[in-house]
Amino acid sequence: MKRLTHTLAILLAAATLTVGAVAMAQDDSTLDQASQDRASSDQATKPVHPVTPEQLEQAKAREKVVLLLSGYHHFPSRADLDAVAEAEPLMAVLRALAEDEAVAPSMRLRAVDAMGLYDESAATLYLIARIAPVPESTPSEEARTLGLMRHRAMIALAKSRGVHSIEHLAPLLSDPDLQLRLTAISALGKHGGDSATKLLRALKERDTHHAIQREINKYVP
Amino acid sequence: MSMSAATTDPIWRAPRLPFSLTLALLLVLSVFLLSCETLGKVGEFLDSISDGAACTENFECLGGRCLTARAGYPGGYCTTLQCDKQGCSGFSSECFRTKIDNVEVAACYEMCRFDGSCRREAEGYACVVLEDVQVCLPPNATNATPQGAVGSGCTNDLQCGQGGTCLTNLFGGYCTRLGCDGSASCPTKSTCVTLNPDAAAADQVDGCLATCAADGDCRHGYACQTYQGSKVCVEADRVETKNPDGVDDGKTCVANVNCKGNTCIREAEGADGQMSFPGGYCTTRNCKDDTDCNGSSICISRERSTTCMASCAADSDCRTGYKCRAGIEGNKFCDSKVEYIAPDTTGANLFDIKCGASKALTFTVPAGAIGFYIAPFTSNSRPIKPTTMRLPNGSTLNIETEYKFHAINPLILESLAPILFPASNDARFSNGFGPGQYTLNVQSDSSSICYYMIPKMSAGTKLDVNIYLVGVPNLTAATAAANTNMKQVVQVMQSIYTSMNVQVRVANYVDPSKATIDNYSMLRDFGDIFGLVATSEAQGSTVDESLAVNVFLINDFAISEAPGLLGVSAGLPGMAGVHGNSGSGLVFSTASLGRDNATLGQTMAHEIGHFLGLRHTTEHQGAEHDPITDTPQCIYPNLGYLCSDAKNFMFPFSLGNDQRLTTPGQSFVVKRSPLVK
Repeated sequence: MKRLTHTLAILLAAATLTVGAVAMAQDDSTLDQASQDRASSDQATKPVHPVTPEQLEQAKAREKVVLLLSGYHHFPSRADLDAVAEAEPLMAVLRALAEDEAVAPSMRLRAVDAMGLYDESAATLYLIARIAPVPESTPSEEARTLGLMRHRAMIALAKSRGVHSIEHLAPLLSDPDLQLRLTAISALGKHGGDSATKLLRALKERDTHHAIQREINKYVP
Repeated sequence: MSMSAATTDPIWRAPRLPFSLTLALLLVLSVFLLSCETLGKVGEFLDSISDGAACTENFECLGGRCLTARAGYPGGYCTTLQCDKQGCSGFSSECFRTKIDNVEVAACYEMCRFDGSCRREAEGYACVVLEDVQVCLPPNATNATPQGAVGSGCTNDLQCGQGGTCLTNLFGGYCTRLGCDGSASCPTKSTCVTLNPDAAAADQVDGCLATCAADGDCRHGYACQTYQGSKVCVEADRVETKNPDGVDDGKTCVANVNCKGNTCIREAEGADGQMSFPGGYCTTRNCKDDTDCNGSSICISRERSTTCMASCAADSDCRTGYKCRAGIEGNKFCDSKVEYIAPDTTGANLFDIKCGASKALTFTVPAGAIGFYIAPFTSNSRPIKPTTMRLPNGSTLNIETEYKFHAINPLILESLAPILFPASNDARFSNGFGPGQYTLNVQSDSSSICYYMIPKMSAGTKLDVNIYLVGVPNLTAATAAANTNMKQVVQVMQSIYTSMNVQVRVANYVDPSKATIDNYSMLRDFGDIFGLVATSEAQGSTVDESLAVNVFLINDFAISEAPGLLGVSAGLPGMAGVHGNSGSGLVFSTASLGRDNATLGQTMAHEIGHFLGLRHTTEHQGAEHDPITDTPQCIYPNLGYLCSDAKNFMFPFSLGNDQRLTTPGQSFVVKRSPLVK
């Protein structure tokens, strides 16, 4: 019974994908036709914004990326993401996901994590921007998400840029927020190499908070 | 602190017992020891002569002093004077600098029981707070605050009296009355305030705080500040040195009053006759960093909290009986050579744990059982792996091949390898683990293998959950139950298990210590996950209370090696009944709390499912499926919602807030977990 179910599932999946692809293709032409029709209609109408092929591609990519980022215990690799789209459009999808306040916070944070798979400059610049302090005027719920995003961005930047992340993360070693200091230590300790180790050794002498000492000890025994 | 007393009462005799009387007492004791058959009787005898016991004459007291009824102590009260020099008799009393009959003395008073009660309540003795310590004294003996009064220190709700709640997230605990409605509803010397004014209106919780006029009206660690228009005792920004005239951390002591930090770790003789902390050891508890310590001591993490210990470079820097060792922070400090064995909070004493060198673990499942749970582990963190199990009918089950769906713990936990039998409703397994003699063979290079077995006598229907709040913004044990978001999360989780005929109850909300919150509100590596889970404690002293799932809610994960983590179960299944180890709980990010409560509830249900013994319906590569016969499967789970198991709560992808389906087969397994009672 289970094997029959498997076979049916495969057939159903294939059929759905086929139908879906055909439907999407039909939608494209239908939309184009509709947009033309609207353009030629009388006035007192709203401006028409037809969906461009690029936007459609991005929507499909976004859907696939969301699914890839939905695993309870699995996170996609760079290869998984490359299979969806090339780096530039994929990073755009990730950026849009991270910025979209309508998206669940966990998904937005995962989008930032995924940026860490890219060492392209666009990703680096984005992560550096996400490490910056959250403006005080930000509403509290969004401020919390952006605050957590700082931590994810720090880790992602350190992973992708290694020693080149030190200049951006080192200032956070003396941030008044204990948890930011701890994440900076973790990021630099894991990915910052010998240069970072020197910084941590110096920090060990001056910041005697028990949690700081515990975290530093993982990298500077 | 002065005590009322008669002025001419002949209670003031020589401070020490005459030798002849001491000898007489010892002779009485030794005769009693020779004739008594049980340690219980010895304990009773010691209780009858220790500090706080009834008396009429000095020689009746182990400490050598009887405060008589004429002095204001109904039935008499044994004490030990000059305890700042010689300590108190035993560990159930504490030394105080006080006045008795207008004379400055150092005297011992009996400490209250764990629940804030006194053994001599019938005689009018009540638990009061004297210099932040709960002691039993007669009502007219002191003007100390009664234990349980709003603002007094505590470690549990029982100590705060009927209707009281202990805010354990505050320094030293803080008794309050929750749900007050205006100050008239609060006891005297307290007023009603909103404890979490920054929360949404529907989530705000009101409680009583102690009123004050100046800092001196508040206990140590608290300051008198204006809060919501009233002057109340709140946590001070900095805790001042309690006993400036005391000695530094690390020095010898016999009582708290000897120490600047007001805590003396007294020397204690173990069952083997060895002495831990010889000569006593002054310390300061709950330090944040080294500046909270005095002398050359440093702040280290210890026993779920922080404490100040004398720093050192080598053993020669330490006193006799101490060695120089490094803590988890990597800093060296002088520690007792003989380890002090703290009271067990793991619940391990409730289960029959066997340890030995044998790698063939035999056990008998009693008649009437429908299954069992077995947890082999090593106590020295060496890896362990179950390989085969001999069944009562003589056959052998190869766990690594035939039962591999429950052979994953060696990879996750390494030194803990619990397994549930049966973990499948498949006819090959569902009725195959009944009564009889079993032998579980394990592979390990450890010289000591331990294990315990919990038989399953019937399918369970109730699951208790302890929720630890580790730095979740605006959420504490006092406010969590009423919090709208928390309630929604719990409701979703409950609804999923209700569909499997299992009723989930949040048995406890727990505030961990500040040190735990500092270390673990964000987790940055897998060691942190296991370290946090290992802070779990049994929330009661019965087997029923120990059989509860520990859920740790943190701010978020920031683990470089595991991006995107939502939650994690430490074990599949996890360690049941025994707490305080790396397999005794689950951890969840609360990043979505307030924005996507349903998904968080589903995530919790999913991970608890793992902890109880469920696998994913389909693994993310699609090559493997769970061993349950009625769960749908998918060849390629990356198809997401096209998969027939996409809406099952154990699907490997979190696709939305409508993944709540369960099957009877999953219910079969879950109800056989020892945690489902």
